[in-house]
Parts: sequence; C-alpha cells; structure tokens
Amino acid sequence: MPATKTRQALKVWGSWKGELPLQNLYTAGIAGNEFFRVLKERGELLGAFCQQCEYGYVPARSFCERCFADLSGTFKTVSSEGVLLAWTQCHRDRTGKTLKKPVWLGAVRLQGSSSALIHILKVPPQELHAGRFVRAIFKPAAQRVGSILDLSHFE
Amino acid sequence: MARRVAVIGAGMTRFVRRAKETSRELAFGASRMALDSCGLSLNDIDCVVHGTAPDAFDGFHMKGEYLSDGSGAFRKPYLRCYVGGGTGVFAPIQGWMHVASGLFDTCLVVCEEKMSSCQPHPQGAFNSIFDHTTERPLGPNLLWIFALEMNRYMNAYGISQRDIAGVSVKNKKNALDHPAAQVAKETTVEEVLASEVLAWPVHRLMVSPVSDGAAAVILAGEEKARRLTDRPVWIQGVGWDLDTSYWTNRDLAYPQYVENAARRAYRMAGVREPRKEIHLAEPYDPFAYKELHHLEGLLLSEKGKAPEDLARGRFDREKGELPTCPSGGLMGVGNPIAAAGLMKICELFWQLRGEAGKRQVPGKPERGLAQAWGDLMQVGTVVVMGIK
Amino acid sequence: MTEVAQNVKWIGENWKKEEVLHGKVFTFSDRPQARYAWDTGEAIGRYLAGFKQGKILGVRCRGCQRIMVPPRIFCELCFRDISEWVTLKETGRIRTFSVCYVTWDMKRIRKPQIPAVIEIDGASEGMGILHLVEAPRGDKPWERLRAGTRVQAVWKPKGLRRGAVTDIRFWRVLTGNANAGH
Repeated sequence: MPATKTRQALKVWGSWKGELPLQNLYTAGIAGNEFFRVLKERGELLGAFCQQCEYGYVPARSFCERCFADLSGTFKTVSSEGVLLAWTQCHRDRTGKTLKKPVWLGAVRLQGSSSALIHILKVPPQELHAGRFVRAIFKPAAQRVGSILDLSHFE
Repeated sequence: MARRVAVIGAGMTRFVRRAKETSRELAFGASRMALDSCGLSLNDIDCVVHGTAPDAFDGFHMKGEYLSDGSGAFRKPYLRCYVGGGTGVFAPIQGWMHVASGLFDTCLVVCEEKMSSCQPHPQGAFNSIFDHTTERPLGPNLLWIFALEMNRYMNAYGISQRDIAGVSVKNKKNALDHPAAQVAKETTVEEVLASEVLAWPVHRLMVSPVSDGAAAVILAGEEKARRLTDRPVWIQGVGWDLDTSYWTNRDLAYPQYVENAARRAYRMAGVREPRKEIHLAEPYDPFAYKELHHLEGLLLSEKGKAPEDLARGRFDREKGELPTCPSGGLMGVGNPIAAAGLMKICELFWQLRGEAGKRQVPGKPERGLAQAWGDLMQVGTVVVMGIK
Repeated sequence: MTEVAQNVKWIGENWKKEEVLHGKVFTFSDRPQARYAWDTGEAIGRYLAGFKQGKILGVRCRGCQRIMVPPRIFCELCFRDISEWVTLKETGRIRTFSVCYVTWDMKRIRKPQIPAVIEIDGASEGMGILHLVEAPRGDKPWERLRAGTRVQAVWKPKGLRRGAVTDIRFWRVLTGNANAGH
C-alpha cells in the first residue's frame, strides 16, 4: 500500500484518512560532527567563538550568524559548569500524555559561552532558581554514542 | 516606474547526493561565496529572501526560520517563498520586488534543499502533491505525472523518445565543465535509451537526481550596483503565472502558463523577438523532455519543434545559435529543488559577465533567460537578465 | 578574471555509509507522526458516494457551461457557485498514459502499473481523471495502448464498494477500437 491507507468507508460527507510515510535522517554537519566527536570521545562540550562579535556558541557552529565569519578554526571545549538562566517543570510528554513523574528542563549558559543550552535538570525543586550554578553530568565513556544524551543531565 | 535592479554577486555549493553539511551550513556556504564574489559583508545586506521547497525534504517545519542563520537573516527583514520547483527562479523575483520597490538597496537571495534527509526516498514528500482522496489511493508516485505529461507531449506532436534523449546527452556533457556538478557524464542517445525504463516513456537517464545543495545571489539597486561593480547584470524582466490545480483537466501538451510568464518578462525587458534577442537560456530541465517543452512555452522554439532544433544543434553550447543549459542544468549539475532554479540565475550571471570559464558561451552574449516550473505542474517563473 | 570558480573553496561533500558505521559521521533519525483525516467536502463527498453506487458524477457550471470531473462546488474559471450535478458515462478515452515499473520508494515491481489520464464520456473535452488501466499482455504494454484508446470502467462488486476512487478496479480497453486515433 502506498502513501495513503484508508480506514473507513465514506458517506456523502466524511473524512479520508492517510499519512505521510516520512522518516528523516539528519547529519550532524561540519561543526556538529566535531561537537559530537568530542562529546563521545572525551565527555566534553565544544564551543565556537567569534572574536569580532565576542560571542561563544555551544554547541559549536561552523559560522557566526551575526557577522558570517568562518568559525571552524575557533573550536575549543568549554567548562562543564554554568549558570541556570531559566527552568520549567514538564508534566506531559511531546505527544501530550501525562508523565508519571514530572521532568525538569533548564536553559544553561556554560562558563565561557554566550548561548544557552537546553537540557534535563536533576536539581531538587526547592533549590531551583535562575542564576544558580549547575554542572553537566556525562554518561560513562562506554555508554556514549555521539548523541546530545551523552550529556546525561545537569545537577 | 520601478527602479532598476542588478545581480552583483553569485555563489553556490557543490550539488551532492548526501551532504555531510547541515542544511544551514549549505545555505551559509552559498551565501558566503556570493558575498565574497562582490566583496560585501553581511552588514551591507539590507534584507534577505529565502527560497526552499517542502519542509518535509529537510525534515524541519518552519524551514525558512530554521535556515535563517545560514541565510544571513540575523536581525534583518526576511521573507521565505515557495512555489515548488518554481521556487529557485521565484525567489530572485521576490528579491527584485524588495529592491525595485525602493524599500531596500541590497538583498541576499538564498535557496537551499537537503533532500537526502528524507527517507526512505524524497518521493514520500513528493507524493503529497497528489489529491489525498481522489488520487493517492491509486498509489501514485512523482514519476507518473512526468511520464503522463511526456507521453502527451510526444503524442501531440509525433515526437519520439530518441528525439528527447539528446537533452540528457547535451546537459550531462555541458556539466562536465561545472565544478559543482553531481551527475556530469559523457553519454550517448543509445545509452540513454538503453537505461532502465522507470515509468515509460521515462528512462533512468532522462531523470535528474536527488540532490543536496544551495545557491545564492546578491541584488542591488541601480545606484548601489554601479558603485559596487563595473559589471552589473541587470534583471530586465520578470514574470510568473499559474494554471488550474486540476491537472487532469489541463492540456499537458503545452505549458500555456509558462508562455504567460515569459510574455510578462519579455514585455518588461522590451524583448519583441525572443528568438533573436535572447542569446542563451537556462530552461527548467528536471526531466529531459521538460527542457524542450519549456523552450516552446518560452516562445524560443515553435510548438512541437524544439526536438528538431535540438537535433540540428541549435541549443549546443559551443556552436549553437541559442545555447540552452550551458551550466549542465538539473540533468547534469543536479536538482536540489529550489537551489537548482537559483543555480540557473547564477549561471546567467557568470555567463553574461564572461566568467563561466570552460562553460563560457562564445560571442559575448548580452541577454539570457532562466526559467523554473513547479507547484502541481502548473507554475512558470521567468527572469530575463542582461548587461545593458 | 575568466573563471569565477578559480579561487573558490567549494563546499558540499558526500558522506559514505562506512563513515557512519565507523562513527566518523554522526547522524540522527526521527519519524514524524504525520497522520491526517482530510474532510472530503461536499463535492468530493458526493463524488465518492456516487462511486459506491457505481456512478461517476460530474458538475456543470452555468457560466462557462463546462461539465467538469472531478466535481467541485465552485468554478475556478468563472468563480461562481455550482449546483448542477450530472451523471457521466462509465466509458472514456485515454488522454495520456504511462507504464510504471517502480513504487514511490523506488522499489521495482514486476507487473507494471498503467496510470492514465482518462477523459470521461459526457464531460467536456479535456476533462480527465487520474486512474489505472488494465495491463495488456506482452512485454511492451506501451505498444498496445494509444492516446485516444477507448476504455470502460471495471467496478468492484457492489458489496465491496466503499465510496472510494478504488471502487473502480481499473479501466479496460474496449475491444474493436483499441487503435482509434485521437
């Protein structure tokens, strides 16, 4: 059966059901590949730095979106510690189902970078406040595969 | 009257089957090359127009926004436009409006497509152009619609597959001289006809490939253009036109909407006799027959006579009276949908400035035309460019 | 300057499957849950209800007088409402056809599909629908079909019809005038 599967008979007015049978395969890209290689092999976070704009991007990018400079020669690792800029407590998953236990997500600006990285937070809820320091916890080397989840969470 | 607008810079990436670069990095690569070609920085750009086909190819919704960083749109007025395959020539028309209107002095126009992201095959996205209720239950694929149109074209004018195969031979050969080409090849009519039948009358070597890539041009208003370069290439005329969405109710033998778009562009450019006044053309060639079909719609060949013109060498790059697809076209350079159309604008820019290297059309051409086509086989987009 | 590409570092590099397998190129995959329920609307709703009864319905525009199929509740040329329904014949002529050996995901199929634009008798000239023609025997089906070939709808048995365009199994070439000119 091709793109459309039919599931119901029609009356004069009705609806016709189908789907778009898509999957996506994304490459990490030139900068992304370096970021994930360093994350997997060394358990560290790689950034890119634009001198002209005085801006540090984490994850690393291959160009500065502000001035269009080539940043490929500027990659270096950043501290795994940073400042929590904002946080949220999620009660639903991305399909809208209620989670058994809520999940906390935070926007973290790592020391030495200018951008925020979004990731899972494991901080006691009563201690959550913007401006507090958090630290990245990485999975053990043997479990790292080159995914953003190689960074397990911030605590 | 609108003010004059020139193309002052152009750039593109290689067209490849599966790019390591992300969509953003591809867009950046083309944009950076276009800026470098005219010595501008991002600060010099007043606004950005982005052209890209369905979000489903790259697999990002709001793809225009997703690609805005690589397109140089950071804190700038930004517009994304989309008319299917016609996008690559529609985007510079949008850019032209931005500058011709007087709103902006410079505009970066970027088109990008990364089709390899779409699995198992980009046709999964293309299929959704068919009507969900009256057509998709029949199990269509994109080849059907081209095969049906090609057969109708052949039937209406008594054209054979052999007559059409020469387009593949010409374009793949032209592409051998293009440093960004994906499927350049020395081939023969016999080899094209012996290649696998995918959807009769379409053989494998009559189809452009699935590609990743990006292209970009820089537009400037007259005053600015004259200050920035001594060789501006003017956008002399633009046109676009749309046929009915009921494609099975159309006469597929002749693209009337392409003619309408071309007539608009010719009128604006002051072109009265296109066959004499257009010195080279980049008609849209996603399938071999489409180049011929479009040359007729563009009034550059008589109805049903483009195959004869092809056979007598009228469209050859070196000796022909009207070289067509000197770049190698989609059949030779590749077909990252929106980027492929803008690649044609880049080619006109390089050809008309005498910068096309081994691909250079002889005789110092002064005026060229690029055309793309898309939506549900129904939109024609045309740009006429020249050095005067 | 004679060639623009001389001093350019071309970007755009292919990756190979081995590079992914050996962890040199990182890739990520995802599958959007893109499921839809499309409303048929009035025109296509009635069109499909007609299929269930074994009838092909069209509409007539009182402005341009075109009899159209697929039916629609407004004329896209005159831009006015349409309310007149017409039962069309279940015969027609092949306007154009293809013989397709691949599926949408480029898998090869041994028994080809023959998609065609079929002009329906009783509708205005040029009014066609997309459907499938029964494959003639032989290696090169395209040698046995022509533009203009007359065809007839072959319906599914009444009990199996569900109000879908596939209630017509395919269109069969009418014997005696397979080579009719256009």
